[in-house]
Amino acid sequence: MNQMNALGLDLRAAAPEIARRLAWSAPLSVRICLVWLAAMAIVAAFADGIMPYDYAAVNLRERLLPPLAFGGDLAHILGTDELGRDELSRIVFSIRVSLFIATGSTLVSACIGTTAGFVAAHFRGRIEQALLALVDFQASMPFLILALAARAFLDDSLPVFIALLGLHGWERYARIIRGLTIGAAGRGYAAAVRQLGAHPLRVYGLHILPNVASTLIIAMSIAFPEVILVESSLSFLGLGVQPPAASLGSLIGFGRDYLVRAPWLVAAPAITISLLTLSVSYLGDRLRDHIDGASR
Amino acid sequence: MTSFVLIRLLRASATLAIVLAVAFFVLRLSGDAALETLSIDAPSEALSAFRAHWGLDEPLSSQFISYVRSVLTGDFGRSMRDGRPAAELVAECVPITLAITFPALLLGVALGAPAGVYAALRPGTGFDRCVMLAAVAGFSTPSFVLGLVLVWIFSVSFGWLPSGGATNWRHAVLPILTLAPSGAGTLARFIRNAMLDVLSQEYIRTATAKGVPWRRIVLRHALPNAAIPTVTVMGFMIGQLIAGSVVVESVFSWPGVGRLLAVSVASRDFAVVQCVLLLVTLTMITANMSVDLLYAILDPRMRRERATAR
Amino acid sequence: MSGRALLEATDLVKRYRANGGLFGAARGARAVDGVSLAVRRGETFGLVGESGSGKSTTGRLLLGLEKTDSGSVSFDGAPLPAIDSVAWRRQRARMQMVFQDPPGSLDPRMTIREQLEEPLVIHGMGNKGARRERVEALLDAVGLGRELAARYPRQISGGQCQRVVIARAIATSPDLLVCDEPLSALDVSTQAQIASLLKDLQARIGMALVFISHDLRAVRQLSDHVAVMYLGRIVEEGNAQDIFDRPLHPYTKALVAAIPKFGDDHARPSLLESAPAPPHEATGCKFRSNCPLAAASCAATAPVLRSLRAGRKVACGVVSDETSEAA
Repeated sequence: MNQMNALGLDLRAAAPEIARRLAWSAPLSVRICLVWLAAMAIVAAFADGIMPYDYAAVNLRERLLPPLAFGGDLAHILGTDELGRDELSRIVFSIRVSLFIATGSTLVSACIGTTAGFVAAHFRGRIEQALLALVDFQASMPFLILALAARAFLDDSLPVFIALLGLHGWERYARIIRGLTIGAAGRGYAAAVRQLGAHPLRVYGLHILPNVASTLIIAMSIAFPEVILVESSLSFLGLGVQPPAASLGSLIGFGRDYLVRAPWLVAAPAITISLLTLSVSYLGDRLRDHIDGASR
Repeated sequence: MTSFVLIRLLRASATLAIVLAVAFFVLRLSGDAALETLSIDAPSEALSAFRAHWGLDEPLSSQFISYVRSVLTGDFGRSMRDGRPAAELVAECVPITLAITFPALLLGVALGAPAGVYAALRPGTGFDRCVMLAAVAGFSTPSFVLGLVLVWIFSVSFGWLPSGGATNWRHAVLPILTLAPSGAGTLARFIRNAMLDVLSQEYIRTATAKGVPWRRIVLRHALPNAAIPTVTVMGFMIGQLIAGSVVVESVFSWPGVGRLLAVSVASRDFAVVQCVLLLVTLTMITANMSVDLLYAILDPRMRRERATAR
Repeated sequence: MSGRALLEATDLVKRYRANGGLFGAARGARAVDGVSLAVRRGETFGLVGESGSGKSTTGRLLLGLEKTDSGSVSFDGAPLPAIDSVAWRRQRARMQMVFQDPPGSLDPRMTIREQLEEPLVIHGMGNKGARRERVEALLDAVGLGRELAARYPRQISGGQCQRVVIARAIATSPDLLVCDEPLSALDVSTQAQIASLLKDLQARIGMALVFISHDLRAVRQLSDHVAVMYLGRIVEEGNAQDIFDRPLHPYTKALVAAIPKFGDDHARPSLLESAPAPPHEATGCKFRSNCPLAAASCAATAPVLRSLRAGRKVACGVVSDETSEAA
């Protein structure tokens, strides 16, 4: 959370430059990360076409088959799990679930945070103080604990889970948006548009939002891997995505019981999710460095 | 300075109030305790007698006050699973959790701090890049993945260390090794940037130009100044450790607070869940306040700014 | 004063909460301290003062962009509606403001055309085609080429930005335009162009113009009527020609004396620049510590703005019409 404090007001100016540098003169490591992410996105998008079997199709005669590289056959490249379900299909499906949840939650929290930031900046006074107290509270607590505790009271459905994870990081967006909005509303174009007679919604939605969008997007790209981590951790503990659906975390959670007999059940999803979070985090890290460099 | 402390205290109590209020209302709204404890077809006199006994027929506000009073006296109710007081259960787990989180914090600092400093002294070199990649890997690798990899290597393949339980110190080794990297990565990254910041300052360049030995510049000027902002990351690291302990304790069957929380959530043992939640809140409030105070004491500039702010 | 005034302000007061500081001073400094003025239809009203005199705040209060702590403003005979209400928003079509920082008042992500269409869209004026025509007419009116319509603010100069801001302000044909230091961010040659553009537009459209500036030369060039502000109060008011030819209040005199003459680029250190910070809460005339005419009575009571003769007012207990002639 402290890392976010480094995000200053200058992001907006720096963003196009960063995008250009990332795209064209990016170092090899950045390009590898981008390629991996693109691959994940494609797998998630076309999961139905890629999955060789139904991810939930049980075949008790083909339980715990090893992957191709360890003496398995072409029918199940990554082997099968304890119920004979095709591991490759399960991983492909899990990538889709994990990315879907992470994207959805990130969008939800960006919406909540943006709205809260606008509300705080618009009303000031007591409403702002109340929101800032909430922001402080959220920022001071480890989110995984909050999500876990809330899980005790909520039901297991996917929309509820996404909404819950959608509370991750909203306080950062709220802080950023509030700061930028107060800055813009005090003087400059926002004040000018307001005195033209524009409704506040028009000022925030049509003028301030497009001007702070790039900052918001950068903040989202930094929060994204964290959401994946929280989701997979909860799913690993069995408190996230519920069967028969699966996410990368829950695959590992179920696979750990077979760590000795069938280590591939852990290895394949573990490698996938590690590369995923590593590449998103690494990109976010480079992005921050560029921003810090640009604003210095 | 007093107003600074006062504001912090105010915010801390606001945080505590939010947690208490949420815990209370969620508990109350999640079901009728009378119906759940007795049964749906219990006679209505029995239900109202139950409600009167537990104060459930009073207005919500007075219920909240008596709830806060009982929480403040350490009465969180009883665990639904074994009927013992929740506070007692949690208190038993605290030292067990500290036995892995505290060493993990020390290990994280011992690994992360020097790595960050050395990386900052050689910015842009291969060493720097490796440290930063390791740092990112440290805080982005899911701890359950790291834990299972360590189990696979040290327990399954070589059989050197136990994969779960908590009978002797050997059981603590893998959990500590799993918890430490995320803190180390966070710290290394933060210290590197803080050092780079300080090293680019005018007075460092002036000292270099004057011919002050580099060693002396780093040890006497750069390090102490970089250490001040680094204090702020400690609160974050503690939060990271608490979150990490939930997962790691579950991976290694380590009977600490984290595992207790995970198990209680799964079995919807509300009394224990809210007790752990309040414990974590208090820990984080204490940690953040100590960090803020320490920072204010270390950095005179901060102290003045805080005093003049509203 | 002939005819009903378009805009009438009575006893405006605006306090700003002082930055508490170490002493935690809770008392707010009065940025505007009892200002009354009237702007007639079609006239140019110059509001002069140094920075910190409260003239910009007065400008915002006149338009109802900020709440007054006390006092009232009436526009066209009716009090201003509550800030941010529907009626308030609707009224913006009739009263507009031009800010100090021209590029900053334009949305960096919108083309000039979109910015000029904005007030028309907000107030539901015209359809797409009519708005297009209106934008072109506006560009013509402020002397900008139509090809600029597709550009973004960063692609045009500061002077061009100010022209766009002015064009946007007059898009709805307002009755009142308040310009807050419209020239200060521009270079000297551009200042002259914008000043004459304002004069020209004002004459053509017939709107009332409140021209707020610390630049007395520009005020003299544009204004029909002038009010001089010092520390939140109007100290002197009257016909522009009259004020500049025969300033009465010692502060106005100092200001007028400090106007650099043409060809005299060397800025004179004014009496005011060396003045110590005035005590806000002191009784009596605020200007007395800097005043060459200060008498013992000045410390006792604050002078009120009093009429000397038709259209000429001064807030000074010492001067009279005769002393100015004697001087």
